[in-house]
Amino acid sequence: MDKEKILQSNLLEKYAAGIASKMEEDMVHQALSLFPELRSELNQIELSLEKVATENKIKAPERIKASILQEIQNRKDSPKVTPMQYSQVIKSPINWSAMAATLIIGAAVSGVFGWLNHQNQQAEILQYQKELSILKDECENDKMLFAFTNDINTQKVSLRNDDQGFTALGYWNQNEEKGLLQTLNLPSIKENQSYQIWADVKGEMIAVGLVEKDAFVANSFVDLKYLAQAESINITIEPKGGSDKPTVSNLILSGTI
Amino acid sequence: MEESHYQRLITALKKGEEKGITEIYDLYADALYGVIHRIVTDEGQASDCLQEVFLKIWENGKSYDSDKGRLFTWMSRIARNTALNVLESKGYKNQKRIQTDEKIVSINEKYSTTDKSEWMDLKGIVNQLPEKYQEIIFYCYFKGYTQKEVSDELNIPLGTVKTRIKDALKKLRTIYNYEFKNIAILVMVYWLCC
Repeated sequence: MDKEKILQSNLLEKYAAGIASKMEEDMVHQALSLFPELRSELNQIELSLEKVATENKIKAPERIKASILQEIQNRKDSPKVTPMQYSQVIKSPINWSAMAATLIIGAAVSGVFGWLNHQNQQAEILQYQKELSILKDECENDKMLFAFTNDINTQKVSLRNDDQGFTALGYWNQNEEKGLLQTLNLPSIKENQSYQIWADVKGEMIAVGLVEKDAFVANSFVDLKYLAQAESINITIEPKGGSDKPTVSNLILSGTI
Repeated sequence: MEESHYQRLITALKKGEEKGITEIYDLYADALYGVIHRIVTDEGQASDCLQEVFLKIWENGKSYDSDKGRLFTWMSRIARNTALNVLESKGYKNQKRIQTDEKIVSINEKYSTTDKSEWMDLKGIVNQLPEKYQEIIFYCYFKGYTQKEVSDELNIPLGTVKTRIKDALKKLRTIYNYEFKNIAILVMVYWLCC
């Protein structure tokens, strides 16, 4: 488990927002025990979301509080079982009514335990089904990505800077009018910088994508705006938020379509 | 809330003390109801759901582990999951069907009741975010959508959703920290002046 990878992914954010799968939750728990310093990172995310929830609260109906407290009281009172008096046992060696009551209570308790067990199993099945559905969705997404990148109509554009070893791969599909960029090995940038992607259209550089430093994940896919007459894809390092025109001196990669 | 008070609250919850759950209700019920009611729009069902959530909090309080996250995160997860279960329940769907009149249609509640501009009503620090981030927080945090569901609903690639969730919460943290520091400075100035 890599701490940096966890920080770069959106795992902590998903966990704090309550939309992480069971498997992802387990990963976060494991990460928190391995890297206690992640706790303060998570705490910050949690506090900001807590504030969002508090600022967007909705007044709960007045009667609910009393109803909850009453139900808690009922549940506290209900499990009490009065022990049988010794003197009663002496009076009658076979107390049929007590035996019948015991059998009924036993059957009821066993029924309740059976029912609870069944409920727990159902909840687990539902949880697994949900996780399976999420994994299926992610798998579907990867399949679509694979299909697109391997489509016969998808043109691959290699962006290389052999001197410095930087690489990226562009995917350009005229039929689907879609562009993608795979960030393979880009130079690191500062917090106040971003990678900006440009398409050369008849000599004019038009911005087709922007990746901020804090959103950058190595070897991930970035959607590009498709331009039919684009002749090349270029990447420059620009100030955070991007520029209107490319800073030519900061051109790091370029590839012809 | 002071840290010592917060810790006492957790201890009371873990011991199953009634005063603990009462105070937790007073502090957090409205915020949790805000999460529930945005998923379960029917008021009666949302109220029942809130009651169920607090009973779960009380019953499972001793299993809450503060090393795994803040109390509110734990409670809001219970609230969101309970509300989503209500939404998926047969009874709720049947009730919605009856309400939809003679023309019985299959309803996917998550999608059918979400007004596209509902997220615009969000208040507070989230309002200071660009719209695309407000939208993503609304769908994930308040509606309990998975990343894939957000991708389908907003018609944006899954990869963009993932990045946007991270960016949105990062920016939210920045605003939160900025406000928190300002309040701390104001308190200090007030304290010095008095």
